[in-house]
Amino acid sequence: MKTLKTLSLSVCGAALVALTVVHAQNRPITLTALDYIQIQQVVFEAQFALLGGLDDGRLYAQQFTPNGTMNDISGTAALTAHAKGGRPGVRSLLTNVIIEPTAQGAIGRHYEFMVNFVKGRDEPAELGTTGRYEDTFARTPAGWRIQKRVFVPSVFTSEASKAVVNGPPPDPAVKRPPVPDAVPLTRPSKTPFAGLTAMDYIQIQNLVASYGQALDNGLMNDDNGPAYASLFAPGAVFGRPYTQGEEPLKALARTQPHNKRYARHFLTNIVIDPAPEGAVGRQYLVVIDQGENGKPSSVLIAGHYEDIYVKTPAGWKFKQRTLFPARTGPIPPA
Amino acid sequence: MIRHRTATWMLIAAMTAAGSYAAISAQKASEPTLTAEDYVAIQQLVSRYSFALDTGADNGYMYADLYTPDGTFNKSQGREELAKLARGGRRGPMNVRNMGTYAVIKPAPGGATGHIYQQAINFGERDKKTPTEIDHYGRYEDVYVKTADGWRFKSRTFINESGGLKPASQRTSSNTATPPAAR
Repeated sequence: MKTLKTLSLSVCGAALVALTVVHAQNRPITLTALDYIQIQQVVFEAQFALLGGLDDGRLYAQQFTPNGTMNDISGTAALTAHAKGGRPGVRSLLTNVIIEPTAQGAIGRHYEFMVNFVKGRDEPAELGTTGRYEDTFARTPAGWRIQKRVFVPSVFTSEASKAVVNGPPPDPAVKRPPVPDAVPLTRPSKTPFAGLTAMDYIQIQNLVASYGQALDNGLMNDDNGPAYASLFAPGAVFGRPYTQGEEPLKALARTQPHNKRYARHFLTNIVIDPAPEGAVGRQYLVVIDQGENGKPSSVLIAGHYEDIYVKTPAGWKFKQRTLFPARTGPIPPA
Repeated sequence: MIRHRTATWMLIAAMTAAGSYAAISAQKASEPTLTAEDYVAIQQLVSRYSFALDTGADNGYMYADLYTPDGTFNKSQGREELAKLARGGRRGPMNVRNMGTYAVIKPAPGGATGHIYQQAINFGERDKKTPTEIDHYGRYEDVYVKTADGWRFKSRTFINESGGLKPASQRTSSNTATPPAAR
């Protein structure tokens, strides 16, 4: 009897240990602020190395693990050959970098839009392919490296528009609150980290990057509504068109073309400053529609967002976000 | 005797290894490093650059003050010369033009260096019926230093990678008197 009890206790104990091990294996590792930054640096170095063909392609391959892959290109020798010679006449901008810890290391997704100069010196440059990289990163003795990289070209807007869900037209009898005023740019704070840590900055960068991706690809979901609304704090306001509340925010996102393979909202120049509420920030937006039928890609709209961020139990969220379309000259009278 | 000789060789090998390790450690200790806060502050400097340049805020001085007092952009040096680069042409509090990506940042003696790609686009405005045109594309080569006021540009050099490409409206215009502009 005693033996049986001991045995069952041992079995239970073993099962518990096994469960704990499995749980621990699935739990994401903790990334430090420097981990995030080093992963970012690998992503940006890879872009420079590839477009410039630096060190005869070797610098590009060095950003990968020895058995690393880019699409169907595998291993250091093949990756070096892939980057050798660079990409004359072609350049790009990387934006919307999201990095997330996993149990094994980290994954990342970011956007790229190409710029082509191939038509000769007298032709204007044109915007080319748009898309998303999906990366898996591994920590090696030499630092963070890309283990696996896949490029997902954006679907065309005509395809992504099939998912659009238009709500009822706005009721003219309901008066909408005015769009929040633009706030002039300030000089950099002499105490840039007042109340904020490097990790706060990184998490806000991730939030901003997630905004474009949530709208376009629903953070890898068919429905972009929940992904988009989840980036806002309770009671938060999107300023143009004025939208407040979880359901209205979901509905607003669904009025935009979206698809798991869609890339359209490119956000650059992420400025973040400490503020009494938590943090404020601004960044540039360019909305690019990938050219269909061999045509160059085109700009639908550009501007800058002005944000207020708050730290909630679920992480940093938008408390207020307003788009101001790009224009030159003084602010026109309202 | 043989055992003694082996032991001696092992001792020498161990000492050599320890010596190399100490040398490597010393070398690593003297290599410049950056903290996460340094990287973030430099990223912020680089991101803010475009806003200061495109808005031309504070008559260009907000742009100039992102540099050290003796800072340089290409051949322009010092606060007054730098502020001039952020005046005239396409400016305004709502203007968006110089879209940068994140910088590749490396620690360097006395601070850090960086390089970053940038795309300038002249965005059209519906009410003015102006077209959207790609203006130029290139990269910055930067030197950053940490001052009492935070990280600043010691120097920034723009290398235009789009060659002589000009937007269509400028090519058809005979007016070549464009104001000097930072990129």
